[in-house]
Amino acid sequence: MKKLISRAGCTLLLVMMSQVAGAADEQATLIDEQALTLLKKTADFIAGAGSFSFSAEYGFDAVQASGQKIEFGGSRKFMVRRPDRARIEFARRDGTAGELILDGKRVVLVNKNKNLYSTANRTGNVGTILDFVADKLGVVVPLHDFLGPDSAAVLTQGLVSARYGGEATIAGVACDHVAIRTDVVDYQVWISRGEQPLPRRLVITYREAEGQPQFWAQFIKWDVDPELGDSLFVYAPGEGAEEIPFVAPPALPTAMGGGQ
Amino acid sequence: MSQREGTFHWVTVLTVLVASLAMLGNDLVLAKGGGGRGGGAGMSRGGPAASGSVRPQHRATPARQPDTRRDVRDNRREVKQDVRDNRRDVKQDVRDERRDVRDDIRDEHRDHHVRRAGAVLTISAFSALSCTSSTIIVGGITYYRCGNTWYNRAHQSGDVVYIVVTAPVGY
Repeated sequence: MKKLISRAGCTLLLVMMSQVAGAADEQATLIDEQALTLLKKTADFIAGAGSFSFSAEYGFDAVQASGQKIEFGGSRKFMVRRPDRARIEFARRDGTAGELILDGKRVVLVNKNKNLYSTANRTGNVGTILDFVADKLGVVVPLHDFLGPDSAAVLTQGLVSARYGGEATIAGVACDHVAIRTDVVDYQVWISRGEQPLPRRLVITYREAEGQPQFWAQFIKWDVDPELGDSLFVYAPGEGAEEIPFVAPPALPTAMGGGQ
Repeated sequence: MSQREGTFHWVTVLTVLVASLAMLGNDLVLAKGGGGRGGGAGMSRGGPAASGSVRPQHRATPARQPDTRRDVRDNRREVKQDVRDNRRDVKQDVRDERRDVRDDIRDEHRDHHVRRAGAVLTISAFSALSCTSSTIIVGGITYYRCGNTWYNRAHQSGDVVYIVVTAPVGY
């Protein structure tokens, strides 16, 4: 009997040791340097562009109370001139169209359908201003993680793993496939090979959220040396345009760190 | 039926009744107020994936806590079974209660008329109001009047909404 117990103890110890070793192995291979380098390269490339523009088609899952996923989406055109000018033209699939303009002093949100606009004073760089727009004004700006000067830090915040998925062709462009896991999301980005390492496709999985909804975007018409004149970043209200205020977005539940 | 089962049965009936009334309240708000923000045909277009960001914790609609998911599922299953068991019994009660609640709400509206200042209505909720609103421009600001309630438009979370405000000076 004693022998049996000691044998069982030994087996248990071996199993535990092998598990520890396995976890250590996994830990060692969690960050693939090639994948991380590619991600930082694309972030730094965009951050280094004085002006750039691109368009994107995107879609996202909205998980209904029943658990059914319904996709919404739209298209956006981004025009950025560092450090602090941006014009984002948007057209949602439901027909809502407008613009978000950063003119260096303030943020202007324009609803073209209703000829309404709102303004909020804000200075900073494109990244910090868009953080303000998303966090404080509650205005959703998909893809803005890629726009700021510190996008490499933003994209690797809470990094858990980085993997390289090999070569893949997206819309005819040869790309490298990178898969990232952070403490809150999983995301994949396809980065074009060659002189201009630009994101061509992005898929984010909100794995902590019920139903694990996804966001996807396809980047098109990249231009890293566009002519972006001053007038693009100035909002001149058209005839009959009315200014309305921004009001605070509904408060967050306290579990997520308090209201806005 | 044992006494314990009997007690349980009535507790369940009461729970379902309260839940049904709560849902009825929502129905009335929806009938008056329309569906979720910006969604088509009453579908919600919110959630963390709408952010298109790898930092969803910064955004307006938070992810639900994963720990509670299984509990919620289990609870949901249990509640569903209870609901099925008791639905037949409470249907009539609910119908009666619903009539009462509807009367109460109607009375309340007659008595008060004015919504709380700061209340927010989506565009669809606003257009679903029973009255036809009149438009008055005071000091360059457009007011919408519906009964004794006044509204201004504003941007909330990127969408145009109607906000209940106090009447402009002189009205």
